[in-house]
Amino acid sequence: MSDEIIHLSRVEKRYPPSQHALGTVDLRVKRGEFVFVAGASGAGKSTLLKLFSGQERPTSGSVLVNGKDLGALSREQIRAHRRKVGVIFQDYKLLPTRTVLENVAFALEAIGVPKRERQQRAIKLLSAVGLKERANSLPPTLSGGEQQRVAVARALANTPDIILADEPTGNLDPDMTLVVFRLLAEANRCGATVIVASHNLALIEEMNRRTLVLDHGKIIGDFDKPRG
Amino acid sequence: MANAMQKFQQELVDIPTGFLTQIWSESRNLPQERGLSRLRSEVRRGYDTVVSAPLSSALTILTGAGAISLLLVIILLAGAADSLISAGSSTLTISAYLKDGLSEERVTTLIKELESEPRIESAQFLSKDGALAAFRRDLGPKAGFLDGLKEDNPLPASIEITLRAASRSDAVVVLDQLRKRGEVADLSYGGEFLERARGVVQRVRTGGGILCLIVLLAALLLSGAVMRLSVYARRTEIEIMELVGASDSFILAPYAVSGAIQGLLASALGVFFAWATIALLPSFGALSDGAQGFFLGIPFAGVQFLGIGAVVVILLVGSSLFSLSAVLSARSELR
Repeated sequence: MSDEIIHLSRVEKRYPPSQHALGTVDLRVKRGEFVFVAGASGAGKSTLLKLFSGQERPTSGSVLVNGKDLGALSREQIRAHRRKVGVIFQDYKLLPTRTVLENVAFALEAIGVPKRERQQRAIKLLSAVGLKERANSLPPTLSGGEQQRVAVARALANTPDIILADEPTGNLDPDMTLVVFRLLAEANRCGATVIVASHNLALIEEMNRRTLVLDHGKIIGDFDKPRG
Repeated sequence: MANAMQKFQQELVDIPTGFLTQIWSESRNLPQERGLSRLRSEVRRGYDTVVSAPLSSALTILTGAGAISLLLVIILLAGAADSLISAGSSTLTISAYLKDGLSEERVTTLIKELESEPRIESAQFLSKDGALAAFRRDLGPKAGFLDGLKEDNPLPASIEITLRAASRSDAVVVLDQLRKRGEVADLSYGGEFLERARGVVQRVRTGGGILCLIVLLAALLLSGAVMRLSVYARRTEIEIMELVGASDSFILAPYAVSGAIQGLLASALGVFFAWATIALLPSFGALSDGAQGFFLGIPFAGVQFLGIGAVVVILLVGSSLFSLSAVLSARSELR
């Protein structure tokens, strides 16, 4: 298995008619790294993460993830790639009419895991994120922090190679922010590569991990453990 | 923030250390549902899709049922009218009224010539007296009105001709031949009834066909719109399925199943509505002069309903079409 999990080579992403979201990005991420992508709103953080998950394809250049050129994959192959990627959003993207347990199990249901196995695993994940007691609650009855922990549990359900988190703590208070980062750090410790897009510079600084700084679609800084 | 990070580092959050290690190591290769178990899951997900949106499901089913029942009623009525025409044609008789004063020999010759005609099944002579006697029988108790006609019978003698063939063209040919005969004063035949029945069939086919086309089109558009709305309401679910790597077939399967369930129910209801309409038509016809006028000549009570085989075909076709429509609607949401 290659040491390199992500390799972007001269990647550009433009949206019609003339929006330049990313311009000539070269990037390498090692397996098991924890990387922050920092930058102001509109800098291209979300676009970069979407390229990693295969939600977007590059206008030019190549996006290699796990050795596969995502730009050349078919829709079904992209789906297969996503089974190895956990995605976390600022707005959680939970299904409001399904219980917390069902939301976590949903990631496993979608890849055809039998009901008994997915429920057992979902319960374990909810225990891990401290929400076992809320398993039968509906997401709208949960606090923002609890909902994000459900989203993290769902992202971890498939034991992904990569976890992509787009402003995962944007709507959370400082305590809940810590809980979520604790979960991501644990997943990283287990071997998952974690990439977090955030504009919370104070938190990034405190976490002291590799940080890419994006501005107007270009990487203007790549700091490996800024505090040495 | 420094204080918060200190809390983080001191692990003051209510999550145990190393909590993921076991889960991570436990199963990198999760089991997959296959065969019957997979099928059962898909059916269950399809059923859940139907019951989770009861209003839109009911609307889809009812619109479909309305269109199917209307189509069936029109087809059945047109079929009944066709049968009626066939039945009328097969027993078509022509009455050839003869001129007065023909000799018995001339009449006999005429009958022989007619019987030798391949299109004619039989030709029977009815004398003037015979015609009067038949008229008396028809009048029954009111036959006394005819007492004054004993000396001067105005009814002509006739030859009652029964056609062998069941087609309209045969009747026309025979009628043309008879009109050229000098012995024949006038002709009467069942063609008026057939023309009337054909008119009804034409009206049913044209008017009903246009109406049916409009309703079907509206029903298809409405059903399609309701399905698209239902799919649109579940777009977040579809988006999440895509994000976690579900295959197209996994995403579309519940829509295929829910469409099939809705189609099956719509077809069954449509067949029931059509049956109820056909069953109620005789009383409807008796109550409304307008309806009787429109459908004049069709014995509603005699309309044959569909056999079990045809019902099964309708259920299968309806189910398949709805399923296809639901899948196409859901597919448009995939990226």
